[in-house]
Amino acid sequence: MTDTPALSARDLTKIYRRSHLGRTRSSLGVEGVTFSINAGEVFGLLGLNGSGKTTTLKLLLGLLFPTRGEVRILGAPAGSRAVQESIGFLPEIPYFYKFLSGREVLSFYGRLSGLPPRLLKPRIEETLAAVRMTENAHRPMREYSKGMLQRIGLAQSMLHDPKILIFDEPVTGLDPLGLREMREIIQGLNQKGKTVLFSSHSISEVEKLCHRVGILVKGRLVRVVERKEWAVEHGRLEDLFVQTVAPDHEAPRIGGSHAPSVASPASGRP
Amino acid sequence: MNAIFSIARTTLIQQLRNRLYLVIVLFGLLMIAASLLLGAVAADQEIRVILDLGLATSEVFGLALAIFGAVTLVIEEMESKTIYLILTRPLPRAHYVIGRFLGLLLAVWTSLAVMEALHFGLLFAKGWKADPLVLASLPVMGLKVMVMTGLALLCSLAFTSAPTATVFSLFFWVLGHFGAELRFLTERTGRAAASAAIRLLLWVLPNLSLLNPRDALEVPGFNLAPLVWSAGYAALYTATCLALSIALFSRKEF
Repeated sequence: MTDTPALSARDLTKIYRRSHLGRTRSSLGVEGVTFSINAGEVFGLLGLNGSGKTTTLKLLLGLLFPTRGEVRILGAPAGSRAVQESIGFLPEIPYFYKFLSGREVLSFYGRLSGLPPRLLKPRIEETLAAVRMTENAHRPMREYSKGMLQRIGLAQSMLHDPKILIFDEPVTGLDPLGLREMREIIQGLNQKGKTVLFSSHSISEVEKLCHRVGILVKGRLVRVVERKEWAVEHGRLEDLFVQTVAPDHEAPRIGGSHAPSVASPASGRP
Repeated sequence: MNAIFSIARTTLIQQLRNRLYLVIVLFGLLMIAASLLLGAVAADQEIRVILDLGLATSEVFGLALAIFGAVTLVIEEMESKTIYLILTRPLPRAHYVIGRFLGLLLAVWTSLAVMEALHFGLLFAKGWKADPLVLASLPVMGLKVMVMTGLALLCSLAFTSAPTATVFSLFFWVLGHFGAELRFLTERTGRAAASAAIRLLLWVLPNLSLLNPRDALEVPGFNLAPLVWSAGYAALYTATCLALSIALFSRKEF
């Protein structure tokens, strides 16, 4: 890992303005988000629903324009061609053209990413093998399961060998085996020196994969936690997260006169 | 350029595998085949009926494909979110708009070619002798479809709702054929404001009467020279629509 920021956001603010019948309504997406990610680092974004995780990622990717603030990726402003070449993106639910097969989808995205024709085919096969989709690559996307779509989504993000990978909720909806494979792929990418930024609800996955974690609360990045802070004990990151997003939270009490009785193996009940 | 080609190619495949596209083309073919029945009723005007009905059918069904295809071309992709994985690639947004437009246009031109192949097949089977003016009307029909594809795409980006964009595109298509009548109105109306409004509308509307091949066929001694002017006009109008579409699309957030 080096100290050179691969990605940095300064005072990133997005206020959504929606006009309807002459009336404009504003809502806060994110406000004053400032952080930087070092090259070769795995950085996680944690937050409750609506905390601004996806908005932050979209601002980094140039899908949204900031109301205020600045994003720099590898030293260049977000949205520039050089920046886009160095980024691979996996959305929360990968949406593809259903009329294309997995291989055709990768060929399409490979061309858009500027892969030269002579490299395109071998690179597609290599990436399909990496996500274990070679056998199903000829089938149309409409026949794919959620896990298979996620694998092709992952494949398209890695296809052009980008330096930075941005994943939005990459483990949502995956079965345990899928989860494990996704974790192994992210670890493998990081071992190759790639910078990975991903948002997630899964604290256990974030805990296993990330070097640092940013916690978003109501559109504000209120805390950045380093691995050494949660590595001391299992479940520490969850405690830190809950303390940050809901300082007054208390664990629900199960007990008292109305609590259901639980049979223990030693109780002798059938 | 590679990105434009890739997007155009994928759009073409998307249209050719689209059920709505196939159904519209099939109905067009059925209508053209049905012109044989109407031709049989018209005794000595059989070939004329098949010729006119075939051209009209191709144009109407081609325009339906162009308008319905164009208004959903980008909106559908925004709603289905397939656009995320395209716009995060290293390509200018203008290339995306141009690629989508070209892909759709090729699909619509393909449909026109298929319908006209059947149409001319029927005409030749009935003993029709090739008329260069009739043949020249085919590329003009293609130009008209091109103008409407560009205009419908612009409407879809301006209104961001497929039904609204469809209504406006149809409105422009209908009014676009009444340029001469609108000009007559500007001369007759006594009100300066109304006259200015109609003049403005005339500037905005496509002059589709310039691209009406069947009108050209009615002119005695008609030559092909005006078709060059028509082609230039269609190219300029379409390019303007595309430039405005790109300007609107560049400001869009997803």
